[in-house]
Amino acid sequence: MLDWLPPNVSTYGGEIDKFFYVIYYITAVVFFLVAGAMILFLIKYRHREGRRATYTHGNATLEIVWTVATFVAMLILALVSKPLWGRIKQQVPMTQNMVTIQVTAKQFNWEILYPGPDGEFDTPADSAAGTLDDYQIDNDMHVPVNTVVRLMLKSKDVIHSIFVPQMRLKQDMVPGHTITAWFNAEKDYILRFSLGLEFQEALDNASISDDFLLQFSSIGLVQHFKNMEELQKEKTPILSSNAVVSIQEAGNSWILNDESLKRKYIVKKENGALNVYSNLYEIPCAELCGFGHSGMLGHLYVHTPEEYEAWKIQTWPPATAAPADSSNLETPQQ
Amino acid sequence: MSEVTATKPHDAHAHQSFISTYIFSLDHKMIAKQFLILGLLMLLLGGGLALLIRWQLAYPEKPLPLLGASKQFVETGDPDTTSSWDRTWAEWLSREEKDQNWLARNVPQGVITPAFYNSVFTMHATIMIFFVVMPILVGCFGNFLIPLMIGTRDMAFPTLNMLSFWMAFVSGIVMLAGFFVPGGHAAAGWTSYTPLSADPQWSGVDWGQNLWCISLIILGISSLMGSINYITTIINMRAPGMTLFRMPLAVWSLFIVAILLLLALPVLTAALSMLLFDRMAGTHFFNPAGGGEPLLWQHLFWFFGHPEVYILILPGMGLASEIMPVFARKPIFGYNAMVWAMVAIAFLGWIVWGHHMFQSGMSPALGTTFMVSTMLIAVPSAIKTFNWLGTLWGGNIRFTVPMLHTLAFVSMFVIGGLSGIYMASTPVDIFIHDTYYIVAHIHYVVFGGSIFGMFAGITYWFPKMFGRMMSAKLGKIHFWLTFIAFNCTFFPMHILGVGGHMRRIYNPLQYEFLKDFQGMNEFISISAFVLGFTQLLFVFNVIYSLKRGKVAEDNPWQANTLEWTAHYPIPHGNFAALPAVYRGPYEYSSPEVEEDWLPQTKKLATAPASGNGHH
Repeated sequence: MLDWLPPNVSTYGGEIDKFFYVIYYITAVVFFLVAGAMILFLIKYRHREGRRATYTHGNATLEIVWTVATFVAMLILALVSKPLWGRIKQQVPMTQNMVTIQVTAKQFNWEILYPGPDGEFDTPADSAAGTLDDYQIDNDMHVPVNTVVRLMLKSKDVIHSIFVPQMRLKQDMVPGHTITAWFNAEKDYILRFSLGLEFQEALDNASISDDFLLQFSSIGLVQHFKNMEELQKEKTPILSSNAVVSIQEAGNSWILNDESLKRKYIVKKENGALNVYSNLYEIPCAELCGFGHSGMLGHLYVHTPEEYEAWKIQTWPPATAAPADSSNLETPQQ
Repeated sequence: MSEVTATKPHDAHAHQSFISTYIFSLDHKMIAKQFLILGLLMLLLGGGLALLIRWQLAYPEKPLPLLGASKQFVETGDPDTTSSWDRTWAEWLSREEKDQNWLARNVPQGVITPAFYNSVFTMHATIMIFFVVMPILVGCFGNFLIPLMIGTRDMAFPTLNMLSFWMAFVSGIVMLAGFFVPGGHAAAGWTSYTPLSADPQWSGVDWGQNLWCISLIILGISSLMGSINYITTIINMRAPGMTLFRMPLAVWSLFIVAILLLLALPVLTAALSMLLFDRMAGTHFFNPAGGGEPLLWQHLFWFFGHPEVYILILPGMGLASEIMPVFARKPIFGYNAMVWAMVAIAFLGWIVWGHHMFQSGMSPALGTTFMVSTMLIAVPSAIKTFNWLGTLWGGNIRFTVPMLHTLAFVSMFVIGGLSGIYMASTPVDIFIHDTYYIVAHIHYVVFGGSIFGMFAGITYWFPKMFGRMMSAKLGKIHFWLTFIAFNCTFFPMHILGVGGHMRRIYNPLQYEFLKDFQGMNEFISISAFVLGFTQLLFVFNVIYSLKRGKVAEDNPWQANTLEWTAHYPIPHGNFAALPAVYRGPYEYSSPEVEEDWLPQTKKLATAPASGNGHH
C-alpha cells in the first residue's frame, strides 16, 4: 500500500504523506491486534461439548482503560493534524516572487488566467488600474519550480474540484465564491517510466553508439505511448507515432520535444537503464460536475525558472498591449 | 408496562380477508415481511446497477455482455450483417425518434453513455441506502422485533404502521419511475450537490431529479410514521418487568435510530423542498446567480446525512450485539457501555457533518472543529468493538450462519472504522477526499456493516418469521463466497484511492496517472460480479427454505429474549398472555441454572431477579 501514493512534488505534500503513514501504521497495528485477538478467541473458545462459557458481564476497569486510551489517541491525532491543515488551507505564504493564477472552472474545462506583464488581473475597462494584458489559456497551467503559486479559484456553473495528485492539492471551486489555494512545486521533472528492460541488452553492448541509443530511445518512447494509446483507445494521444520529435543532446541526457503536443521529455542513461523524465502533471476534476465530468482534465507544467521565463516571453502578450483590443485576451501573441 | 392493547391474540382477528391479511395488514409482523420483500427486491436492482458501474470501469465503453452489439459494430460503425442483434441495434439507432427507445438512449449498442453512467451510480447509492438498508434494517427488523422483544401485542399505532409501509412503497414506485422520464434519472450523485442538481441546464436531467426529490420527501413521511411508532411503542408498551435496561440491545439500537430518524428526516425534507422550489418554482436558495448559496445544500444535506450514516449502521450494531451472545453462550460484555456508546454516537452524530465538507470551501477553521468531533465519535465505536471482543472471550462459540455474518459484521466494521480515521484527519483528507478511498470506506461500513448485519438478522430470525429453518449448508456457502468476494471487491478500492483514482469518473483510462490501475479495476469488477451473483444463492435459499426448510422449533437457538417464547405462526396479538420479565436479555451460562440459557421470562423459585446488566 505504501507504494501506491503518487510521487509527491509539493512542499507540503511530504508532510501530508507523513501523516498518512503515521495513521497507516497506527491503524494497521490496531487492526492486527483486534483481528488477531478475534481469531484467537474464535479458535480457543470454539464450541466443544461439555464446556461452559465464562459467565461475566464485563470488567469496569478494562472498559475505562480502553475508552480513555482511545479518547486520548484520537484527541492527539486531531491536535497534531491541526497545524498542518492551517498551513495548507489558512495561511497562504506571501513571498516576493509569488505567482498568482486565477482558475475558473466551467463545464468541462479549466480557464487558466495569468495577470500578464503588469502583474494585475484586469479590472473593468474604465478602471485606471492595470492594462488589459491578461493572458488566458484553457486547461494548461505553467508554473515555475520552487515558487509559491497562489490560485484564485472560481467557477462559472456548478461545483468543480481542482485536483493535482502529485501536489497533494485538492480544493472545491464553488460558483459565487473565490477560494484561495496554493502550492509550491519542489521538483520540475520527475521520473515517469524507465525503458530499462527493453534496452538492457543494447546498453550492455559497448559496440552500440550513443547515437543509436538516442534513436532507439525515441522509438521506444513512441512505442511506449502507442501501447498506452491502445489502452486509451486513442482518446488522448500523448505522443503520436508520426509526431515530429526534435532531439537535443545534453551531456548524458537527451531532450525529446514534441512541439505539436507541447510535451517535453528528458531521457537519461542511469544505472543501465534509460529513464524518462517529464514535468507534466494532470489536473483532473474531482467533484462530479455533469456528464462530461470524467475527462475534464488540464495539464500542469512545472518549469525550471529559465523555461518559465522563456514560456512567458514566448506566449504572453507584450506589456504595452493596447487596452482597446480585447482580442489580445484570447489569442497569445507569438 | 401500560395496557394500550389489551385485546387477546385472536379476538376480532379470526377471519381476515386476503387483503387485510397480506396487503393492508395492520399486523407488525406482516408489515415487517412487506418491508423485507421490498428491500430484497430493491437489493437485486441496486446490486444490478452496481454491476453496470463495475462493467464500465473495468471495460470502459465496451458493449455490455448479452445486450451489446458486436465488437465490429461498436468499433467501426458497420453492423455485422450476419448478427440479427446487430441489425436490431442498427434499426433502433437509425430511427428518427431513437431517443424514444430506452435502450437506444441509455446504452446505444450496449455501451453505457456518460449521462446514463451518472444516473446509474446515483441510483445505486439512493436505492441501496433508502430502499434496501433502511427498509430492511429499520423497517423490517424494527417492526418485527420491537413488539415481540419488549413483549407487547403490536405497535402503538397499527394503522400508521400500515401507512408507513405503503408510503415507502409509493415512494419506491416514484423513484423507479424516474428511470423512464425524458432526460433520464437523477444524475448528480446520491448527495445531489447544488447547483448541478438545482438546474436542468447543468445536467440535462429534468423530471428525473424532480422525482428523486419527491420520492425522498414521501419516504421521509414514511420514516416519520415509523419512528413515531417505534418511540411510542418502546416507551409505553413494554411488558411488566421489561425495564429500559433489561431491553435487548437490538431494541435499544432501533429506539435510538427512531429518534435519529425523527430528527434527521425533516431536515432532508426541508432541503429537498428547497431544491424542488429551485427547480420548479424559480427560487434561488442554492443558485449564486440569484443570491443563493450552493454550500447551504451541503450543510443541510450532511446535517441529515451524517446521522443517516448512523441510522444505517446502528441497527446492524444492535443485531450483532443481539446475536453474538446467543452463539457465544455468554452475556454481552458491558451491556451498559454498549447502550451509552450508542447514545453517545447518536449525540456526536449531529456535530460531525462538516467532515464531508473539508474541501468544499467551507471555512478551514470550521474544518478543525469538525475534525475534533469526528475523531471523538471514534471512541464509542471503539468501545463497541472492544465489547464484542470481550463477548467472544471465554465463550463457547457456535459457528452458525447468523454468527458467521455477525463476526463478519464486526471485523468488517473494524476496517471501515479504522479507514475513517484517515479522512477524519483534515490534511490527509485533502488527498483522499473524493477518491475511491471514500468508496472503499463507505462500503466497508454499509456493506461490511449494515448488509452483513442484515444477513445475520435474516438468517437468525427467519425461523420466527416463517416457521422454518434456512438451509445451513447453502447459508455457509453463501456466507464464505460473500465474505471473500466482498473483500476482493472493496479492499483494493483503498489502494485505488491512495493512488488518486477519483470516484464518479466514467472512464479511468482518460487519465495518464491512472492507467496502471486498470488491472486492479478489472480484478475489482470480476470480484464484484462474483459477489453479485452469489446473492442469487441467498435468494434461492430464502425461497427454498420457505417451502422445504426444516420446520423450526419455537426456540431453535436456545435464546433468552421474548420473541422466542411466541409460537409460530404468531397470531395477530403475539402472546396468549403478556409475558412477565424477570431479568436482562443475555443470561447465558448463568450459574443459577443447569442449562446454558436463562430466558427473560423464566421465573426462578429462589433467587431474586438477576443480571439486569448493572454492574
